[in-house]
Amino acid sequence: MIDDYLAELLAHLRLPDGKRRRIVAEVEDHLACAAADLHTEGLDPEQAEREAVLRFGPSDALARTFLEHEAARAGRRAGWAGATLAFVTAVLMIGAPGSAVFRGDFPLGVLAFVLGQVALIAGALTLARAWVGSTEGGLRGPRLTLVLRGTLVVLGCALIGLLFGAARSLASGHWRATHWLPLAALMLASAPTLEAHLRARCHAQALGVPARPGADLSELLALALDRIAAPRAVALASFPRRHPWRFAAGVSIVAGVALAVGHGLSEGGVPVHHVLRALDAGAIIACVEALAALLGFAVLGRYLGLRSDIR
Amino acid sequence: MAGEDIKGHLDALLLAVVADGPVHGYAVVERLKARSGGRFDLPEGTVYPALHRLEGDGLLRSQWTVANGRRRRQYELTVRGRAELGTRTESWRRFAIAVERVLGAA
Repeated sequence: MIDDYLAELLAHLRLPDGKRRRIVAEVEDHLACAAADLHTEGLDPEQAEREAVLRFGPSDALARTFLEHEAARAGRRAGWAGATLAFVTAVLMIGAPGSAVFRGDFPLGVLAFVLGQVALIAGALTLARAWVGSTEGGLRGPRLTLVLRGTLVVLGCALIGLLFGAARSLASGHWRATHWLPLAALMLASAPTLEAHLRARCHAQALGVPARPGADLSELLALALDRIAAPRAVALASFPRRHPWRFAAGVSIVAGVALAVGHGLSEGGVPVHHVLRALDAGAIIACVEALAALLGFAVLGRYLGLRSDIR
Repeated sequence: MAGEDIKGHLDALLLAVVADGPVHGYAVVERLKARSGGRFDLPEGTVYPALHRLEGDGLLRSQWTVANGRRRRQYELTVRGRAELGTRTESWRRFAIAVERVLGAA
């Protein structure tokens, strides 16, 4: 009876071999102890084994619980690794003055700038979901799907950046430190993210996580507002769910203006009249950034769980 | 008490049981039953995923030992686990006092 149960459990456990062996050994010890105690209490050996197995619970449910915990752990690790990669990608493609391989005129420079921004947004969402999931007793269901999607988008941005940088470096004909160092950093940060993503995806597929996870932006905003801002502001968090396109347009305009102001600060310095003058001159920058952000929302909004694909 | 009822408190209960000293899985279940006067009668297998998760979170550590010729995994509390148990116990006490006040006033 115990042997049959252990064989069933082993068949249901879709985990690495070392973990499976450890679980089965622990369960075997438990069932043997329980059966021995029940036998001492007066049951015959067969009845004792049957009762011990009955009290232990169904093997498929136990295997599923183990798998859920493993998927949650792998998902959380993928989320953190994805967020780290997003940060590295954004710094290299947008901010780091030493990464000349990603600098250039239109369209090359713009491509790196866009990839950096997309990675940063996907990474921030992934980090928020991984964090919220772990504080709520485990990353599971739709939230796990969205973490995997976010990680995949970040990996995609990093991969395109790698290909684009390598091609550009090869075309230039020389390998300077400002070329190979950023590419090496991107590869180093991508490897653990890819490994964690594949592991988490494997567990998630075995569990059958939702393929259409919906959107959770309003929920994330509500949690953030509740913890870091006035509780009264929490009602505002439902706005993205009720009016996703108005929200996207608003955020796009703010992003455009912020970029133009940033441009103004870098060109003209801190005094307000300099910033305003640069902002005036940067109207085109603001419009392009706002349109790009809106386009990003249209293309990736559903996939990243910013707007719902379930009506 | 059904397994569902103690689901949200299982981690704290396991930490409290393991805090008594190094213990293997079967003894965890036995201690849980004994200390609850037999009220916490959940499917025994449910403690193992929770023990593994607590170990993964760094609140427990475990090692193989041999007793009566049988290999068994023994769990014990880490320093972080002890601190977490203190936090959860305090939080539970505050909650229980509040519930008691509300129910007592009814």
